[in-house]
Amino acid sequence: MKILRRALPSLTLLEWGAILSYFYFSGRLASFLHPMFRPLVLATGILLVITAICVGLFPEESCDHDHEGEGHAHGGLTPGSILAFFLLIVPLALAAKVSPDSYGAALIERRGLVQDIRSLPGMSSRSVARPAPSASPAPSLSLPAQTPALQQSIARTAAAQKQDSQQSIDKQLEQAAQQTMTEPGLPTQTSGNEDAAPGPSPGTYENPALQPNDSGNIPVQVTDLLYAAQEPFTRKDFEGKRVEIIGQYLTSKKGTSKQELKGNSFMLVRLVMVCCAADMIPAGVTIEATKKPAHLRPTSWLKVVGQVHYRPRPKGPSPDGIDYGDTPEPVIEAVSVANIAAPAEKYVY
Amino acid sequence: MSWFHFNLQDFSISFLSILFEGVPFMFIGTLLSGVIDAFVPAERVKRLLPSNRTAAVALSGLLGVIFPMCECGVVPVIRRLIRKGLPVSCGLTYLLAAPIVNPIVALSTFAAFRGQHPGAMTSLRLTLGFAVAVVFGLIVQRIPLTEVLNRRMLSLLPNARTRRNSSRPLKEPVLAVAGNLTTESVSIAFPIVPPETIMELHDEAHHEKTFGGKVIGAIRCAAFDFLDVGFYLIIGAAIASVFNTAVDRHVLLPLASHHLFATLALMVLALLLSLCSTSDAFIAANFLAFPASAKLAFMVFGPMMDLKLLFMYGLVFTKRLTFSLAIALFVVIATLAVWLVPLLR
Repeated sequence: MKILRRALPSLTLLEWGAILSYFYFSGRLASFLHPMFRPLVLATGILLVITAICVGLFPEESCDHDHEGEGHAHGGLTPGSILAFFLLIVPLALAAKVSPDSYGAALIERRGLVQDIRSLPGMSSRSVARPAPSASPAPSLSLPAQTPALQQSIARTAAAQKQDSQQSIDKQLEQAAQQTMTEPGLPTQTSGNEDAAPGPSPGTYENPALQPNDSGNIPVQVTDLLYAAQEPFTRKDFEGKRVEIIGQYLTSKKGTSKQELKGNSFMLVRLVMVCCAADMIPAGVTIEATKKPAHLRPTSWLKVVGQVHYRPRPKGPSPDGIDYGDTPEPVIEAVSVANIAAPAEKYVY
Repeated sequence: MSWFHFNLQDFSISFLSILFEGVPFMFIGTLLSGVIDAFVPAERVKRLLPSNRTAAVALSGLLGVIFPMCECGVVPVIRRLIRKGLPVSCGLTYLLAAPIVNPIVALSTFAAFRGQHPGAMTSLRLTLGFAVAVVFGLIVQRIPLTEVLNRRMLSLLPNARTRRNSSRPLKEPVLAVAGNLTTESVSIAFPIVPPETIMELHDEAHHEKTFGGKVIGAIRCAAFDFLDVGFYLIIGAAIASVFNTAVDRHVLLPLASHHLFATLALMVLALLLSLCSTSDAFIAANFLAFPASAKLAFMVFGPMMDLKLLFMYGLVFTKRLTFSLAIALFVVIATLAVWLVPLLR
């Protein structure tokens, strides 16, 4: 028992370090944490293993301790300390074992699909369709196709650099904020200045980052379409265009609209993450399909190719308490719907 | 129960992700705690602060600007600093203020609230956080130490045993009361973890130690601090994950239109969700249907008190003080957010 008592702290730290490192190296961490925080998990995992070895190699006899208080470490295992170590060791291991890489459909539906970019924190700064108030768009815009590369570069940055990136985002946003983002809860906010920016000639892409791929489709994210919905200026880049989009299949639309999905229509959903999976917010666009793959289960991953149309929403506030105002709803008239394997990065950041 | 749907798999995703996000910051805090324990001599700490008590408390509220900490990491550090002689009032003020009054939180709040008066929201959040932390620090200064610190903390104070009544430059007014430690007046906050979970090192012994010995001491101290605080992080993450995955956030929506209820609802949510202060602004900004004061209360109350902190504070303070603190913070912040903030408009 005495040996166990001495080994338990070391073993607990070893378990934590091993699980953190395992999640990093196996790539499973991508389903739990924003890229910015992932290097911290690796560093902590390695340091915890080192700490565990130190604690194991230099047993308490070599140190001077406080011996006051009832029942010190030398006194053996008490029911309380057994419970403490049980809680430190078992739930983490159990959760690591049973945890899937994605939330179930029921939870996603209950949380309510967001169909308004204003309900997605931090999204507008990431959007490929972010407006350029002047003629020259910011060069730092992220492309959906480049997202993995972008994420890798973010992942390499230490948390200390978080500040810098946020500063640059803030700078970009000062411009964008003048143009968009009206908030119903704050009456002093001006609205209706969406048309202030001069529009380009129709037919050209306002954002040069939007280029059709080899199949002639523009690769986009669900969030890009939602962002563009509130901007007549950016909407032109998508309206009537053929896009290629991936997401998860859901049949319900609960929490976003009173309209029920008809026929073969479904929702294509991406989960948006701010920091970790606990703050997940699902965002979705409606897909109007004539044909669907035979084997579709909720949260199946799909690739949809189709034409984007922005349709007016029903008037008045929606069940989720948000008044969409004149912001139309993006709908994709699908040309093809295909099953795909789940991507490594299951979240949009 | 249509509002409660527990699913073990969804729960485990949320549970793991909160741990993965919180553990690195908690580990940084415990490492810092270990370094302070091994390398910073007792009595040195309080010499760093001005001798005027009120000024010292106010300065503690601003220390987060230089040493930004989020709430998971700040508890082990504060616990160590108090043991090293930091006045409890200053410690409490830093504990409450550091997760709010720091540059990372200011930037993330500004970024999260763009389009929703980011400047006003950020400055109000930091100002309110600072003011509340300083006021509570000044109040705690007047409470007998035996009713503030739990018994284990009291016994570990630098002069608890030897120089209990000696004069100190920054004397806690009622430190002498610490002399008559009785089991009725102080209780171990959460007796579930036995005192031996952490092994304390004698400050006196450090003077004779080599550098290598000190490093080992720091690592050991960090390790046991980690286990100590990690225990409460696990409990907090588990409870937060139950609410996060099993309870529908939409149950709050009917309250959004009522100014007072909306604020109280978001504060209870902040308590339950136990979010990290670096990211909670993004969640707060997302509650579009709620008034700005409710979001502000969410962001000031959350970093100062939530489920995991309720457990973690028990490592430092008495059970009674922890719960009084929770209730007082709730009432004060709700009052400020509901009645004071609209006046500033």
